[in-house]
Amino acid sequence: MELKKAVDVFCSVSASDGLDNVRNLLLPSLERLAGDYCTSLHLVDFTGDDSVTLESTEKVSVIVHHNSHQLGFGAAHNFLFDKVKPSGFFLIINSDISCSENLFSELFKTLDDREDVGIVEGRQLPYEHPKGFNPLTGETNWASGACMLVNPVFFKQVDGFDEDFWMYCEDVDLSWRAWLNGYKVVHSPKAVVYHYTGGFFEYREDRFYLEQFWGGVNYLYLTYKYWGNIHLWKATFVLKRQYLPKKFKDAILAEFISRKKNYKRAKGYRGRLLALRDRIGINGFNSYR
Amino acid sequence: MKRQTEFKIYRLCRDEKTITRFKEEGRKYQLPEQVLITGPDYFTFIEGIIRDCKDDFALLCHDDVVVPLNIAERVAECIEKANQYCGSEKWGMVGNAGVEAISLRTVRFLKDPHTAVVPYRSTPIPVVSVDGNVTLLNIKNLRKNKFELPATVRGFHMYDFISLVECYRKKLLVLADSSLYVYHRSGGVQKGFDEFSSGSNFQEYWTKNFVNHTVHTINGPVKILNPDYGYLKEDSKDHRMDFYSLVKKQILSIEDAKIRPVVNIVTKTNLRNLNMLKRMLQSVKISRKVVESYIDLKVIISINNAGSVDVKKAISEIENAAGSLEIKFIECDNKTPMAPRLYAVKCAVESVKSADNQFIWIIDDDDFVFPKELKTVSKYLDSNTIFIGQSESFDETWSADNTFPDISVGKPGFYNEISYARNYLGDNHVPVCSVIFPAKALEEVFSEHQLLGDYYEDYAMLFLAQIKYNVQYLPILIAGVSHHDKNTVFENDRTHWDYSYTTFLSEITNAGVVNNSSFELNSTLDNYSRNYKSGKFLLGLAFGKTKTLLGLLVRLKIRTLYNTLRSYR
Repeated sequence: MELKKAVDVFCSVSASDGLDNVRNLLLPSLERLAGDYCTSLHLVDFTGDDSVTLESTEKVSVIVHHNSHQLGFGAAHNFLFDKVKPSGFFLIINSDISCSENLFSELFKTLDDREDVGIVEGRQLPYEHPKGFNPLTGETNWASGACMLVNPVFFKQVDGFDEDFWMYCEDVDLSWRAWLNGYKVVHSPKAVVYHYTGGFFEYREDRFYLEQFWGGVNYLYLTYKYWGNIHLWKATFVLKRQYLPKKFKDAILAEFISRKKNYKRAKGYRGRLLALRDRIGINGFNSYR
Repeated sequence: MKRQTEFKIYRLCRDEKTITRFKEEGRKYQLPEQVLITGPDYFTFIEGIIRDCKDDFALLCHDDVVVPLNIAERVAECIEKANQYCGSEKWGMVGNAGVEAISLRTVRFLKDPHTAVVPYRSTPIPVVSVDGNVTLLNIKNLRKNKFELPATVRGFHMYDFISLVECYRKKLLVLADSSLYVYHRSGGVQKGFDEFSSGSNFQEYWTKNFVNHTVHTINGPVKILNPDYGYLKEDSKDHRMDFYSLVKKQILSIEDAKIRPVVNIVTKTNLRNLNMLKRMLQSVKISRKVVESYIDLKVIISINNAGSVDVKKAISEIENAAGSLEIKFIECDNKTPMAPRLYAVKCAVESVKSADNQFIWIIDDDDFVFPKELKTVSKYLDSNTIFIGQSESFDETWSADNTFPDISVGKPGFYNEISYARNYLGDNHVPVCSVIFPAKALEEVFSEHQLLGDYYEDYAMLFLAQIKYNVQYLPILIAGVSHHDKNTVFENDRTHWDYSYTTFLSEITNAGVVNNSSFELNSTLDNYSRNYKSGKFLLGLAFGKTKTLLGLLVRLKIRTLYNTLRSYR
């Protein structure tokens, strides 16, 4: 008799409606997944009062890992990785996502037991992520943290997510480090997840959101991390030309400068960076050559 | 019997002379008791009312507001509507004009130097800014919820807006309602408002409490000059709120006194797009779980024109894909002159139980549902109101084997709910999946009118339904529309469309919707059919409507020309 394949699913419940989303969207869809999988859903709870509780279902065991204070996206998943120590590929997924029935089978089919794959990315619908991939090989320059199947050997080798990103762009950084360390990042177009609640249409203009602020700060950090001060001024120039209030741009710059002293440059990658620039287009955001 | 409620009218008068005038008018027209004072600023005035008022309600009026003689009856109606809408414990203020929550568009139920359009609505509207010309204070709730105005802000401006903000902070809704219609003889003092809103008192008050850097008011947007972005930082201890999320939370917290709305998703299909239909059902399955405590979602699949398709096999395949989702199947046998697609809707409508909490949402088999905002929609579903939401279009490529598109590219802004009325001119701004009808509205459309068009049948249904029903349009994304190779949008030969549009125009002309100022609400199918057959519509269209439309176009052209010339000066 063939044993069920065990899959650990990591989900950080950070937003106030995160648990509702897990209860109403993610968990029912994991329950409906086709195939012989033994799924464990690991949630990280930051409330400090153990208030996040969720019952396991018939097919999905739910395990809540408590932490006394709020962690960023990367730190939360590193925390879960240390706690769970997954032996096989594990899935990182947003709480506001509903998986299609064939998600696991398609992700693992794309993986095809290749050890050189670091990350397999699911496909978000109805709003596809605005980036390209090679239609023949599925190779892509980066994978979205909204739904990614991660190789634990690679994850351990690169010390997981860079926690200095705190929020946003850490998935780009992890993907780039996969490529730089000899692993592939592959998009799986048939591994569909429904991300109806994505941020494409719900940002109002009367306030700013974490994504806008940290997207800016981490855009500067990512540039600095891989290309150093020489390119940082270019990134700063691009940021300053964005159609945003000056005070907001100043706040982004101030945040970056205050954190810069703690940032670590990615060293020893220069040769590989140049080689990969032609192959997968690590030359900036959302561009693929 | 006239409804009466104990309340007093409060007016802060500019001088003693005005007080004397009001006393005389009150005696002459037998108005309800008025409390007339002069002296304090508006904030102190409101605090005094909340402290001293012996009634449960107080009506604040500017001293340049002409109160209608039946104001007592209007106030009673207003209270009844507010209570019915959100429960008697949930609201703090009602005005007659403001900025609608969610859409952030201005709503006015008054006559003043800016407007005289007074659309009646059977339900109040939650607002994020209210005009102070007339406001009904729910004294009982304000006291119970410990409503307080900030001591740091005083004067004669923005007392209405700040009162509204403090209501929301105390978990009380603020509404605008047509029952408080008055004639306001002032257009407001914009300069004074601008000075006040950019002054340090208001700016500090706002920045201390909220993160928003733009404030939407009925006098226009107010910019926060020194926004504090502390709320975006890591480990932020900033507990300020997003004001508009606070309002939305309050709207969502309305406990429906009425029964949970049942939204019947009607899908007309010829069973030739089963993979797309499965995608639609998948989206309903997801939505059903997300909104189960707000809306009871049901699915009716109305099969028409199936031709050679093996219906039994197809139904079994759909049922397998639907899993636990219950579906009612209707196989239509059309022996009427109606187009199959329309007949399929008619059959589904007839199968729905006629009740106030029943709604119909027509989702084509290649469309799908967006789940997230349906709970907000549930708060706007009303048996007398047609709800129009937002749809998003996607350019898609499908292969037959998948239940998802191979390629899908969103086209934001392709549809726009605010332009729904332009559908009647042949533009497609609101596809039918953007509309949720009260079931009885469609029932009446089908029983009172004979719809003979085909491709414009959706617009015809909406047009005819809105004659008797309110329309509430909000930019809430509720549906996705697929544009693909089998889609009629891409047909080059538009003969069917043109034919259908002419039929639609003739139908509305003969129904008396366009040319009669008083529309006969009881027009029968016989009358309608007779008019249609007599060719009266052609005469009407040729000599009446064409003339009117040309006149409008000429006026528009002249105005554009005039504006162009002015801009050159």
